[in-house]
Amino acid sequence: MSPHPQALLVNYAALLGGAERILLDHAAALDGPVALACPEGPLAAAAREAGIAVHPLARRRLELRASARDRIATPLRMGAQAREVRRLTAALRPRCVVAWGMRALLSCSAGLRGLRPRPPLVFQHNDLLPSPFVGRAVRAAARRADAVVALSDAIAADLDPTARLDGRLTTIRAGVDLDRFSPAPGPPPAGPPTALVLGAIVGWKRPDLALEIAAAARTELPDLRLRLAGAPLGAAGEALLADLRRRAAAPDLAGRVEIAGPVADVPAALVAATCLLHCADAEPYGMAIVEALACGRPVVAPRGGGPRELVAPDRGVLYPPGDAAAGAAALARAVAAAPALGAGARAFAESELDVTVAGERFRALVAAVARQ
Amino acid sequence: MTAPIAINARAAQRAEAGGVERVVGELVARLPALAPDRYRMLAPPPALAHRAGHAWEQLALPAIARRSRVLFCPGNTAPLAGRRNAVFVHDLAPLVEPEWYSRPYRAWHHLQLYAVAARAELAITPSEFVRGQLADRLGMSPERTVAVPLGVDARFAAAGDPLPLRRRLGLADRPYVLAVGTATARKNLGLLDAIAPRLAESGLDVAIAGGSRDYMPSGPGPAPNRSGPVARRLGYVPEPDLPALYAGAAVLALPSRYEGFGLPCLEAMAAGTPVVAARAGALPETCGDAALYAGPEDPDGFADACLAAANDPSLGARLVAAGRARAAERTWEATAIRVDAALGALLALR
Repeated sequence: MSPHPQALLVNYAALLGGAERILLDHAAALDGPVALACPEGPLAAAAREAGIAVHPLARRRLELRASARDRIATPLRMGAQAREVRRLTAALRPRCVVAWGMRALLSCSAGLRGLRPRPPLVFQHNDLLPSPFVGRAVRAAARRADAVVALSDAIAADLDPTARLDGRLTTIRAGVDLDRFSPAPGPPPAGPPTALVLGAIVGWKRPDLALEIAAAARTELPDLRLRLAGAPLGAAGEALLADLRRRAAAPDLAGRVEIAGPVADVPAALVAATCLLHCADAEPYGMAIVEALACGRPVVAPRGGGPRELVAPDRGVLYPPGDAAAGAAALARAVAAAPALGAGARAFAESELDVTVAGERFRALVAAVARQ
Repeated sequence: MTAPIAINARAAQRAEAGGVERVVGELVARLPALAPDRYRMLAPPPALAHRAGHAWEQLALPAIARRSRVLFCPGNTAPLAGRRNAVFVHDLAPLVEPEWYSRPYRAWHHLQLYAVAARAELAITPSEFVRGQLADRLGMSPERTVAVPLGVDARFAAAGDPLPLRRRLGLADRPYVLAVGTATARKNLGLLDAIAPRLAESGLDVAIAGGSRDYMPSGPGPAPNRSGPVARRLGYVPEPDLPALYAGAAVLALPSRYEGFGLPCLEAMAAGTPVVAARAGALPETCGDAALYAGPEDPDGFADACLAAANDPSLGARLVAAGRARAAERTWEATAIRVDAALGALLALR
């Protein structure tokens, strides 16, 4: 076995969110030993459990937009992380470095500059660019990467609108374990229709819109139940959760909304629902959508970003972002055609969203870059 | 009770199978097996399989299919006035480059495409590329379109010994670069004549399998007074011989200026043959990182890519492995399941 890892994956965050789950899936598909540099936390623990060598990075706050102090301090913190990545790369001599996300790209791009030998750099891009300033920095750094992988065509187009990365930018949609996320055998769940909203309680996911859609749907779907599954993120998430509880208690929704908190068994929650309701106005990809499709559940989602690529009329219904009335009409259509759309959802997932296929594409790309 | 979906099987009657006929044949064979009560097959006599069948399609078919809730037309054309059509739109080539086609052909297909965009309940396309073109060029809402990739038959992955076929076709002496496609301007086969001398210097012959269509001009071919090697025209090669023809090739080259999918690439990948494709149409979507690319108007780039794929063992092995993996992702069974699901959803949503 080679003493040098096939890839050193670098992630700035310690948490285990959707992007980090994809990291673990892709890392498992790579040839040979893999190393992960990230702060200690749930991701590091999950990586160790998966047999990945973890090299802890110092935990740093790399927010650019939160405060004036952040705007000054973040570049300095990023510089410190770049030096850490540089030292680690020089010590491990990986065949390639994979920067997982924009912050990791910025620190890796700076950290590898002038390093001899410099391993090739792959940028895994999972999000839309947050602002013009960050966008300029990320685009410049992406041009220095040897390969760029986008999670969706929407993310790819946002990063590279003028095709300057021609030949180096590819889209690899993340998949799921189709055995774990699979429809339950037998007939669909009995009882009143249930729309599941799956994801962290955070403003940009628009759980407030889900409540308005449920309220607007009460005429067409009088027995509809809405289930919000997810944990609030930070103080803003807690405040939003309190607002949601107040709204759910209003007469037009009372008794129809369950705020379930985080669910341990996501496939079971999906299979118990009639459909997934997605509300984020600007979703870059949508792992919850992928999981719902694999479970054979139709998806009702805004017409934009990642959902537009994942949802077609054989597996769900799209509505204009932010439009509660249109969302309610879409929900009614999806509930009425749930078994047929569910069959289309599963067929699409089996054809396009297999985690092993996505992993193989990532493996082949990293192997080709590492050979350079 | 009448089956809710009638399938227009006209194209499945044709003796020479091109890409469209292959798709129609597979769907006609597989959809009723998936849901016997959902489908019924409607086909004219074989004599009406080609142009003579347009009148049957426009006049007789709507009447025969009237008791079904949806008329599924998997071969590009459908009754123009139909308001319950689901149409498999294989490409928008007559709209993208009208000069590739005869005047009557393009007029007819323009009419068909505009009718689909205006009235069809559902358009199924073989790629997101064509689905995007339906939205961009014809304003068809994505809520009425679904992309379902095509499949590849298992026999391409088990071609057996290609030598007997190579001997029969006179291709046994030297390795050959293969192209498969009808001799039309869209397929850009003249590029292979242009690069044949350079490939010949490296010991590679060039062979083209495929017939011609009188309604599609073939575009520039080799100059009549040209000396030196040119691509060999094999003419139409029967379906059963195709797997061995692919398997025996050193490289499959597809220099098309436009493809809605690019089925020969997938078939070559299944047969373990490296693919060099044009960076055009849906080909990058179909082939992904399992092919080498060159511009369709770049003969030098194409020749370089063919030579690299044929002569660099490690590159060739990578392309073969990636191609086999990619082809394994695509089966006709999966295509039929997805088309069946799309039609089922259409029935449920009506």
